[in-house]
Amino acid sequence: MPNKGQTDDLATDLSRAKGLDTVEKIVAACQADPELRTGFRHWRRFPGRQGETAAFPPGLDPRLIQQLRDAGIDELYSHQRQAIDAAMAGRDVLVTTPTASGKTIAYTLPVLQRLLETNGRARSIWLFPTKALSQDQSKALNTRIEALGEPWHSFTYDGDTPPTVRRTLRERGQVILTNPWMLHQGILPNHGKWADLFASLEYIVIDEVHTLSGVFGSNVAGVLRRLLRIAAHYGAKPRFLMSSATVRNPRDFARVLTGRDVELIDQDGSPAGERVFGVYDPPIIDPVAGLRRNALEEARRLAKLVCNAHHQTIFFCNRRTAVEVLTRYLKEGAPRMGLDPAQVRGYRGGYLPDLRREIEKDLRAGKVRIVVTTNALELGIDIGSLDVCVLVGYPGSQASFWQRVGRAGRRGKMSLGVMIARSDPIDQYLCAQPDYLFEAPRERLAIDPDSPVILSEQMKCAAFELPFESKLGPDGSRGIQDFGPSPHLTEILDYFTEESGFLHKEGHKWFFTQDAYPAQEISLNGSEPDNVIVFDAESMNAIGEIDREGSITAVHEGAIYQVEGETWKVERFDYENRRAYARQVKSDYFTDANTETEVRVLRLEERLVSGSVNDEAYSMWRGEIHVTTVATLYKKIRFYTRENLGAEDIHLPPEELDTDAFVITLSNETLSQLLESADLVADRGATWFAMGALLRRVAPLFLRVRSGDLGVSAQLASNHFKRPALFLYDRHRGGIGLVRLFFDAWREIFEAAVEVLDHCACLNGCPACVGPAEEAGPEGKPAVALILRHILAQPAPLATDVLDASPVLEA
Amino acid sequence: MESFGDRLKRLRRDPAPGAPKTSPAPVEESPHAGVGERRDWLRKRLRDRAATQGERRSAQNSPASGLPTTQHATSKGMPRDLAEFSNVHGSFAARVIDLPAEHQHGHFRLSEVDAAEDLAWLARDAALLDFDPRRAVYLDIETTGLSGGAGTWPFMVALGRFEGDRFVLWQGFMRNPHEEAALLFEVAARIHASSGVVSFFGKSFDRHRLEDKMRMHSIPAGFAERPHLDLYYPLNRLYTRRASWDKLARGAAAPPGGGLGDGKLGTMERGLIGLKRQADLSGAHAPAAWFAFLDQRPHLLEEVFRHNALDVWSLVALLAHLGRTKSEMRADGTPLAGPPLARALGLAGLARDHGERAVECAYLDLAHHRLEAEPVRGFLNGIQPEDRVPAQAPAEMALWQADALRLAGESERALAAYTALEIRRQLPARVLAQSAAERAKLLERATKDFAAALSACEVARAAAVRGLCSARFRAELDKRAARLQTLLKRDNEQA
Repeated sequence: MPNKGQTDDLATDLSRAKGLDTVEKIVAACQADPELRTGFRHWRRFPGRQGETAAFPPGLDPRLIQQLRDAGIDELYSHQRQAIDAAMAGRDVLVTTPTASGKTIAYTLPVLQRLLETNGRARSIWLFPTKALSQDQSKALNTRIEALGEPWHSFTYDGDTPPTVRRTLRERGQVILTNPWMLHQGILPNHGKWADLFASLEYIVIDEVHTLSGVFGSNVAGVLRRLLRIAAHYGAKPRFLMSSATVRNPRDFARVLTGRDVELIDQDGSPAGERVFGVYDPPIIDPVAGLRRNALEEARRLAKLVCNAHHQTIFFCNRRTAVEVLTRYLKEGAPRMGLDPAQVRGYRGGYLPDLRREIEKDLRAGKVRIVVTTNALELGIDIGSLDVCVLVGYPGSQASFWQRVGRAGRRGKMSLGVMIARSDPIDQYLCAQPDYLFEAPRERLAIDPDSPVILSEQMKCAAFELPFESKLGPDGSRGIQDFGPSPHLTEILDYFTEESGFLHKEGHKWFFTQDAYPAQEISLNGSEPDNVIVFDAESMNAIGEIDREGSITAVHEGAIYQVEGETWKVERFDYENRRAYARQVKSDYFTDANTETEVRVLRLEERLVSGSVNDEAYSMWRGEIHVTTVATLYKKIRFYTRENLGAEDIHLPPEELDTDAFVITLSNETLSQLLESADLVADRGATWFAMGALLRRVAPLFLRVRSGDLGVSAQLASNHFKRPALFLYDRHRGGIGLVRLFFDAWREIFEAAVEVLDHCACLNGCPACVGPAEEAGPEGKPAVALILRHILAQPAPLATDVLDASPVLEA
Repeated sequence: MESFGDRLKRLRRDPAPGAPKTSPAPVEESPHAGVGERRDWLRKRLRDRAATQGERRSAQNSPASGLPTTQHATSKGMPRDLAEFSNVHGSFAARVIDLPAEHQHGHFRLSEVDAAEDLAWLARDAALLDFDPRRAVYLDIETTGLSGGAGTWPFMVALGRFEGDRFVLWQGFMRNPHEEAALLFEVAARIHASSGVVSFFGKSFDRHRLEDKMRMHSIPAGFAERPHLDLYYPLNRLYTRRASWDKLARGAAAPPGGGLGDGKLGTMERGLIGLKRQADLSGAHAPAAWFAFLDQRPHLLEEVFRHNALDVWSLVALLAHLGRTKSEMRADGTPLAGPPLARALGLAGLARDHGERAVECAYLDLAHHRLEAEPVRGFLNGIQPEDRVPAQAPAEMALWQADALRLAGESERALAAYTALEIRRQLPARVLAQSAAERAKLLERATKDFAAALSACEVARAAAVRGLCSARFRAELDKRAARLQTLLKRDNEQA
């Protein structure tokens, strides 16, 4: 039996929960709560907006209009009308309006219209980033098609499609809903079986195109080039209908992805209720270390105010384990919010499809009042609109941020969004600069289908599908016209012909001549054959995969390999066969490997100099480097206390990587003078590296990267430059365009880094800025700030011919 | 300045073709001493690494292909006797081998197809009712891979057909991948001109490779509209399922083709038409032979032509064999090769598939006779003759025979057959359970002898436990036993 105090608390909490029957009252409660109100660093209010509507387009088939009217839709939103007009005029279209603005209709109606016009002959391929989304859409689409009373069908084609159905859908499916992986491995290499589809292919619909960045996006761009080649072979020229979250320069992005100039529809015509947004920074508990209260704990405290029976609330976590922990917390606390624990549900990847469908349905019906999720509910799965959205940590990109926040907001009603910041440079930057969140997107999407490795792998697949043929171009020179703008296409084909022997050149054509099926060996996610697979030594099941470069520090013998909080000890690393064998153990320590990295400059392509070449303040470079990484030893570190339990050697060959790099150089004098004038006792090497580490952490604000995508190497006396050089490099072989984006955005990144340092609460460095003092040196934080400020205060740098650097290079 | 090609090579890290897999250089133990020493050690490691990398690069600079080139440089040139064919899609080559229809292939003359009978029945395909082997095309293709897909080339397509008293084998051949459409156009025309297609496993492979590729070139394939006799399926139904039983019946002295278990063309040729190929190029080497040909090294190609031609003539001879299996005798009255017990059982199975109970029983009698005619070594002594041969085979066959009699309505003979089976020595419990259960049903329904039925049921129940039969089967027996007891009791009371 609960004691009296608890009962009283419960009664108080309950009556408060009952009183908070509008979002306005919740906001007021947050602003008044003695414990939480100081944590809210910012509040924003966005007024509601009337929708902007437009009549149905004049040419739209009356049957479609009737169908919409039957569903209670008498008009379209202005952006839907624009998109449909553009599609009906035969243009490629990209719609970038927010979540829940009715983007689906914008691409569904043109497809149905064309089906009606051609009596079912016009076919289309729809691509979705996840299987769940394509199945969701298929159901909705089939309902619409059935209502037209025509014998047409849409089918999902994915790994779950039984072979017996495959034949039917190849022959009779007007609409094929699939994903880039199936297109890559199943459909394109066997296009003969799909000849009917390709011959009458009129539309390629791509949902959520902003997910197609990085290695994956670059590969998908190659897959789309292959798709268009095959369609052209069968005499079709399909158009693209695409939707996306809001991204920076969407036209450029779409052009690289599809090779087409698209009509951009970005003016949202859908109505919206008033929206309130709060940024919450947890209180500091350790001022020296700059440690703040755990964001998940704060979510639990916040739940008392934002969750109750009157509202539906969604919590977004960035990790699956966090979903489970928070769900448990909230189920325990449910009675205090006037809820049944069964009204609180977790939802993430890894749940069985049936369970997911059930939760989605209960969310739409309002039976589930609180859902805790990951990015699994970020994309367009239909769960209806909710009232309150809490982000436990910044999701890593503006697109994700807006997609998540967009889950809250019912027509004509106020909604609330709260972001809880973590002790992380980006989260802390956003607390200081919340405008970043609400302004036009600033992050650049990296996509480079012409990166040599990716391009050549995609061309290998393409050559299997149809022979390449060099043709006379408009300028009278011969070349490959159907695989993007790279000037190296012919060279790649010649390489495959002469070096690897799997192409055969005959006249102006290259034919695939190998007993192989290349798409099987090429992964769109960039995982390569020399990735290391980690096996459970007991069951021999695969438990994980690690890229080549990461393997020497993560799966060396003796390493503790962690999967979702479980610990595995690596017993054997079969380096040659790229396999590691681990056994599950209860380990009270984790391992941390030391590496030594050596960087050699291969080629410099661009340089920006501040000052003159002979008397420079600093230079920014872009070029190609060779990185050699050796794992030297690993430390065993106790969980929580971080006590060092000893170290062991690692005996593995070095990893070699040729890639793109961004380089900052500074004269020796500048560095010395800066640190001496400020009377800082900083460890120069540690400071120089810490600056790189900080820039890497801040970079995701301006370019879409994952933490592992960029590497850092700091040299105080670079052999090449004969002065301090800091390298930030793309960790993908040959680069995927990240470095070019970094080069373009360097000033924004540096400014944000200074901002982070200025606002970080710690004294001498912490994980939320330059890293803990043990890594960044005793006065690493002020030292890094000094260097960054110095650089930003110098005259703006000017582009210089890299050859002008020769005096330095020869010195 | 580094060329793009060199850069690509560096980035792709492709091993040189045929180069041995490079293993990582052995790693020296690191010193445990101070930082300076460690740094020296690290430098050395990096140097070593650079050295091995340099080696690897130089290996990549050697001639592009790892295959020896000089050895075969003498055999340059096209294969012999190629004729040029042209059509709207371009040109290609073909070799034509014109043989008299009386040509002997293995033990068979090609013209023996004239005596083939019952093909539709044997292939379980009504579309073959009017199938005329004289007007069909015999199809076999060579491709650059089994995986299918657009980049796999059907570089050789053989179509043989009878023309009067000749058998004309036409081997269409792509001299380079350009010629694919032209070749396939002619292939489609020849298929259209035929009244049917004969192949071995072609319904699953050859046809689809051709159809996919023809669709790519917008050439109508014509397979769907004509009957297709794929010899693989009927020959497998007849010979592979119980091929090992012949060994059981005849011990080690199995007839040629005693073991046709793998169902492959070569095995069928040896066992059924008496053809033993010598120094034949395996089909798996065909892709390499064609790739080498494209590379100006045609030395292996002649072997592919030969292999492919033998395949097609074997189609004719195997069809001639298949068409005589029902009578088990060739047109000239000589007995048909092949394992006789497996064939009799195969025919019985076909009869069952066609619902022809009497025919099924007749073939089972024949099989029984064949099994009894030879002493079943091992089995009679209670010793398993060979590991791979099922000892329960004769018992299973006897059960099948009894079942067939029962289904044919011959209750008396069926009862006798079940009883005879059940008194066999070394009878597997599972077979005994099934036999006794069927006997119980018959006794209950046909003869109304409930006491005998109950005792058969009890035998079945005990055997079902020993034989680990399914729970459902055992539950049915329990129900039957209970019902029989009630019936018996009622009869006793009435009496």
